Amino acid sequence: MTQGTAPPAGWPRTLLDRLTQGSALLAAAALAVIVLAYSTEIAARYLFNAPTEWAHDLVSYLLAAVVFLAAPDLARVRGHVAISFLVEGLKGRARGLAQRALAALAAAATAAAGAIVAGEALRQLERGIVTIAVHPIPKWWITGVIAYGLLLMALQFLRHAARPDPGEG
Amino acid sequence: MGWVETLLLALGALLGLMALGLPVFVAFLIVNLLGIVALFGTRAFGLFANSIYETATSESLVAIPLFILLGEILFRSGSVDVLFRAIDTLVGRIRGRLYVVVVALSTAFGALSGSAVAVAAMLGRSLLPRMRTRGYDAGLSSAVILGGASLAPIIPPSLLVVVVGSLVKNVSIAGLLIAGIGPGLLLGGMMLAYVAFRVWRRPALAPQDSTRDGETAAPGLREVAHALVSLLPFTLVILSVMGFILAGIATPSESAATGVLAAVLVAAIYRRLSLAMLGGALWEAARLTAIILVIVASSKLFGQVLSFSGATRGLVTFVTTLELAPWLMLLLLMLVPFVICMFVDQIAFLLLAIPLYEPIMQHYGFDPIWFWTLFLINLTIGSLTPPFGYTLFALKGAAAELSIAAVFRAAWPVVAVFVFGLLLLALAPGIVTFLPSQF
Repeated sequence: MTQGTAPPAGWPRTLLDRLTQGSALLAAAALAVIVLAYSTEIAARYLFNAPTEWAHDLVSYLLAAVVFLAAPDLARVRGHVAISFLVEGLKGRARGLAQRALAALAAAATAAAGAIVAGEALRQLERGIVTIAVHPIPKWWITGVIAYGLLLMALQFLRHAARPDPGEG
Repeated sequence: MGWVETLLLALGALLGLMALGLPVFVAFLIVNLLGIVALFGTRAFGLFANSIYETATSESLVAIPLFILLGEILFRSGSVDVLFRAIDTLVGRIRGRLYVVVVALSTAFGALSGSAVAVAAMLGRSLLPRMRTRGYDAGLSSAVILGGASLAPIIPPSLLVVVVGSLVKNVSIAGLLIAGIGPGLLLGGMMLAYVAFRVWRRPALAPQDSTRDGETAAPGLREVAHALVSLLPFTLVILSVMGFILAGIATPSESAATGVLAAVLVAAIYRRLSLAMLGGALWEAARLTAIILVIVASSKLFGQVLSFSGATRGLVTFVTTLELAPWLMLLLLMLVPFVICMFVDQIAFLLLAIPLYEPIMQHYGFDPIWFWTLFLINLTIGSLTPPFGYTLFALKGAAAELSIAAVFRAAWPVVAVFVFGLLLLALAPGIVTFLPSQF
């Protein structure tokens, strides 16, 4: 179950929160562009018999942006799907400690994953690898967004590990 | 290490990490990272990064955020209120009419939203209090809402269908989406039959005033005509999605986008369109998308790790040597998710099961559209089977006055109805495969 999906309340206070919520806003904007790109493609194809060459590639790139720019905000509010019966069954200090330990483990895993993907993005940059598309773009642009999302999630998990929410003990 | 030990270790580690309470996607990341390091060392990190990249940029998965956005716009704009009033009028004057309204409304919602959670939460907030005020039985009302909401992931558009269709080879997303129509209508009909049976056996479950004058008086011709006209804009949405797919005009992802535009148009027709509403819908849709697709992206490598380790081949060889009758194998393949999904998240199980189920399904020669439709309905049942199910928690969250024990009690008869429906679909595959075979 997700553990809370509170919408942003007011302007975020910390730089990390600003970055996280700003990224989520970009994810929402990317989703709007996906709708527009597809609509343009269908209109161009059937009304003008001139399909676009860019719409399909663009939406697939933007999907990565939607997912990995919105995901850190879920980490911020503990909104990722988790089977939390065991932890919720604990009481008081034990529960707080368990939640912090899990957050630390999640931070380590997402940091490792983010570092690996960032390394791949750098390799793609150095070798000038581009996407396989009609209009190719540097592949590291997309891989970089994925790495950014993973690393931002790592920071959010780390924050949960270091500074428990009120009532976590 | 043999394939049995490898498989048990991989599944045990994954389920163990999930049971600890780690986010599901993190559990997949850890197991996949450890798996590729154990198999190939750090030189295979590129494989790890590319598996996430390929999933996150998979165009077939774009349908997921768009289907979510479509539902968000209709729900947030309040356009569904119009739908409710129209169906409320059309159902007319029958005993237990609000039970029927819930099932009919859920079927219509199913064609507009792919999420049982969204429908359960909405019906729990809007209709359940109204049913309780009018003296409808709390248990049966909850059961009907749970059953009705569970039609949403079956009737297209369905989010789970898109996930399965994008991960399973040799099966089209469009075919899988269309395949849900027959089972969705069958299960909706079965829910109505269940309500009729319960009310017939115990008339007190449906209050007397449901057949008297007042708001439940038989609607006049003018009211019926008005209700029918008010439903017309919604046909735009349904036609934009399913019509375009059936006509072969657009891919499921493209038709989802045109469905979003139609939903915006519907909101405008009902004068419920605003920038704030659209912004809120985009924000929530992006977040819900991330919840689902970050798991899908993180899990993709799991199947490859199992395959590289030889566990998948070992399992398939083992299963084929058992020489079980196809019906028994089907029963086993369906029993596993039924039991596991009582405790494990449906999407997590789906992603874990696909790499193991796909070769077994191919070996037995099951029709992929039929098999995966049954599997998806089974997952939907998992979502309403206590003690762990999103649909259950969504209803409980929306209806504070209901205890979780009452929701669990209400769920069991619905589970029985759906299991019976699943049995019918297994025995009569044509209900699933007829429509996809026509296109």
